[in-house]
Amino acid sequence: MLKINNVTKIFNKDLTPEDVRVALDNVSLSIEEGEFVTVIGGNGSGKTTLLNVISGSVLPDAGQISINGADVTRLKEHERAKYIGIVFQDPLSGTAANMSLEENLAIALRRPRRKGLRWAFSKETREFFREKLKTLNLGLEDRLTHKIGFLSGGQRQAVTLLMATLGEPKVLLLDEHTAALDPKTARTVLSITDEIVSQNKLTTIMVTHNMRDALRYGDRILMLDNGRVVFDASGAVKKKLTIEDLLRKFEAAADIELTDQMLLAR
Amino acid sequence: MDELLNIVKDALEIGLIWSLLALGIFIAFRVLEFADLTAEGAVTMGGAVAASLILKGAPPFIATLLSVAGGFLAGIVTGILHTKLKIPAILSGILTMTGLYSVNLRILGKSAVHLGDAATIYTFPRGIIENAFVAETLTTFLVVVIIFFVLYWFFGTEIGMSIRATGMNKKMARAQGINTDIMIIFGLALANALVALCGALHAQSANSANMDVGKGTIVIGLAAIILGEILFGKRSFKNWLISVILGSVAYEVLVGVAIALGLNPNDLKLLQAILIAFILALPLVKKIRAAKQRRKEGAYNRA
Amino acid sequence: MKFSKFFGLFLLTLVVAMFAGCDDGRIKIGILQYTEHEALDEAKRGFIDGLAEAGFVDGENITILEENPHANANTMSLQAKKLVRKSDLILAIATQAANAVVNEAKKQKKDTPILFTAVTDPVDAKLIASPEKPGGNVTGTNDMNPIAEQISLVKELLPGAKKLGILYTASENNSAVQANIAKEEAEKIGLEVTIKTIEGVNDLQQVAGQLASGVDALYIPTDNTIAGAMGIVKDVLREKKIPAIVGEPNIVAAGGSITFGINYYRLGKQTAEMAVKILRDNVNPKDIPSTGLSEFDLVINKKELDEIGIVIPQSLLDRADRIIE
Repeated sequence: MLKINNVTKIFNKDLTPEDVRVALDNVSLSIEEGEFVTVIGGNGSGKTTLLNVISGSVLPDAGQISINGADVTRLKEHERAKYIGIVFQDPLSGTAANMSLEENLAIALRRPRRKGLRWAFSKETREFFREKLKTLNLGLEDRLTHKIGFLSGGQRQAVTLLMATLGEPKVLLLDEHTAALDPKTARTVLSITDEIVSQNKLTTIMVTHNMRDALRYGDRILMLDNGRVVFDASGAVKKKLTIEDLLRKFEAAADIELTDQMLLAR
Repeated sequence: MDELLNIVKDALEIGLIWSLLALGIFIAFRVLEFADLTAEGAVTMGGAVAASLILKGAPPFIATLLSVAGGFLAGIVTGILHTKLKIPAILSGILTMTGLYSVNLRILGKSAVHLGDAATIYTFPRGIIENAFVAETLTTFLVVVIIFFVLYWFFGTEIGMSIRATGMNKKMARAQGINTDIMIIFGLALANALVALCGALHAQSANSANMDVGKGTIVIGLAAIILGEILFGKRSFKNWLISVILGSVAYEVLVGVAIALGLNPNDLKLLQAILIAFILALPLVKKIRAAKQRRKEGAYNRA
Repeated sequence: MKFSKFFGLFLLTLVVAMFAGCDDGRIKIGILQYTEHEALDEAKRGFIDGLAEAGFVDGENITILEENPHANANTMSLQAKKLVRKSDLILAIATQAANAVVNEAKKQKKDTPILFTAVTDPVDAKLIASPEKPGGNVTGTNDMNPIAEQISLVKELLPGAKKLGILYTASENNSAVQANIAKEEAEKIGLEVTIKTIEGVNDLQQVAGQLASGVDALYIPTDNTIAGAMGIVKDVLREKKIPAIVGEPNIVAAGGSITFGINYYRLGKQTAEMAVKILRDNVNPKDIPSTGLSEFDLVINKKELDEIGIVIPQSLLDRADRIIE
């Protein structure tokens, strides 16, 4: 249901050849509805760019992207938002700090619709939010009127995750969304992620640098290198993979930069 | 005691009118986080449009409405310059403000225009209420209250919240399907519409319109906002709006006190500059104090 | 923290209230000057000196309350209110200030005598009904530049002059008004008049050059655009060897040839005479006609006229108040 056809994205085209960066090199992918895909790769492998061309914050130089048959390649970020839910790496960038929890949720709820002069709140909406927040098990359902800025990084990521799903997205994009959290909070957010994805049967793409997480979650794994997909395993094959297998794949593919993060995450 | 009463009366009469400008600047600078300098031209435009229409015999209400429309358009121009032509925020405002200078001069016809006995929005109230202060202040108060409720309602609607989100976190707003360009344009339009309304009311209260009205008003607007925030808080959006309005009145009280001190004009100007610098520095002072407080009580209690 | 702030403010206002309440029994003269400007400062000085010469001295039998909002509308409203409340007589310097004071007096329902000075057109500013019968509690002096007298300089400087060219910027309303008056006055003394306008500084040289080619002298009113670009005009005058009679002394200094200008100090003194009539002789402002100066400063730019090659009649040199060499 998410199709990426021959997508290429090159940065710094106008600079000297050494500075030109081919972030995505004629990438083609097809992701089925309900698939949970994890994406790993070294720095500069193109994994973030992949998410960005899907979300629309970056437009490709060539190729098409379609969601459920609709060609979204040239749609601007906000026009595409009705199909997409996204959680960024920075816990601060997914929410508006000075607005309250319920105000943020209200905005997310309205994501797929045109914005009009309807009043954004009602008793029913608030109840709905409370129910949804209860599923996070973080006690946030009692803090609807608190300003988001007072929540911790992990709580804000959890809220961003909830917001991403509120808009009934066709695709959920997670861009290393636990990378900036401490290990314990990261674990909490990841398990919430897994629950939400499976409960709502969301088509999900999760970029991560953590090989263990990449293997433990999801039913399909992609490895990117130099803007190309060099490894693609799903189902039973994926289940049997170990971290050693992944490392060997890394060494086999040329010029992969093993980051410290990746090595430490064994 | 008389003196004190006079200072408060004057502060109310003048401060309520200028609170509309403060609210406009509040929407641009605080809600949209856009350093909009259009206001300097928009407030002049408000007065110019209202005055010239009134002199041509237009009903004051219509004249005022049209000046609001003028401010609205000015905001749109700045918004387009920034979002579509990618001109930096401050520059966009300056460009519009500069263009407005010629426009305003053309509207006025000369550098200053006097209304004499022409009918203004205050004429009717002053006809039924003896005391000019009461008549005018009550009228302005009515306008401010209406604007307050409109703003409070508006920023709770989907569009209003989208504008607030755009100002706070453009990236998040776009990811939530908000067309941030349109929100910025509309937000600036709304802001400058209010500023123009202030200009129109001021011209009708002062019974004249001139090209100098805009000078330095943005700084005064910011001072009023900050003073209001410090004195009256911003716990909720409703609270924040009220603080801006009260802050404007509080600012006029301070100026009134300075004037009542009977200083010679040059010293007064210096005092006003110090006053504004002091007000603008207050948030920093508050931050430092709060940090010291936290250090004293919190440092050893980290769980 | 909030409480101490409120308290401090309250205390301060109380102190002010105490001091400001003091009444020393002297006559209060309020002066509202619109902004800092040489001309306005001079007018104020003239007024205060004029009062003193008539026996009204600040600190002795009068108290002068001076306010200057530096062109800020907000501050001016507050200052006008204060002066109207406290003054027995008010001097407003410049049209904006006059309007603010008159407006406030109406609101406070006071008939305090109000004098204005340095106002170009008091009738147009709706301050008075007519110069002869101001009709109200307002009167004063105007600083309309003496166009008739200035035009008469054309024939005095160049007795044989037949043609006069008038130049101004099309968008400047003030200049258009002056140009029309100048045309009338010039035709009265038998000069043939050609008027040309410019869009802005860009076509100044071209238009001025064209105009200068066909006339014996130029007249330039107090036009802001041209005043700021007199360097261009100066060169044209030297090239075509004709003089320019201009609207005010500053323009003469910048490259014009000659003018009759307003002496603001004298204007202030003339206004003081009106104040004295009101204070000492109990004359009602509505019975004091609004006037302008009857004598003006003759300012000659000898340096430029020498460059152009025009001989200045001795009669002019003798009467000159200021000669630029």
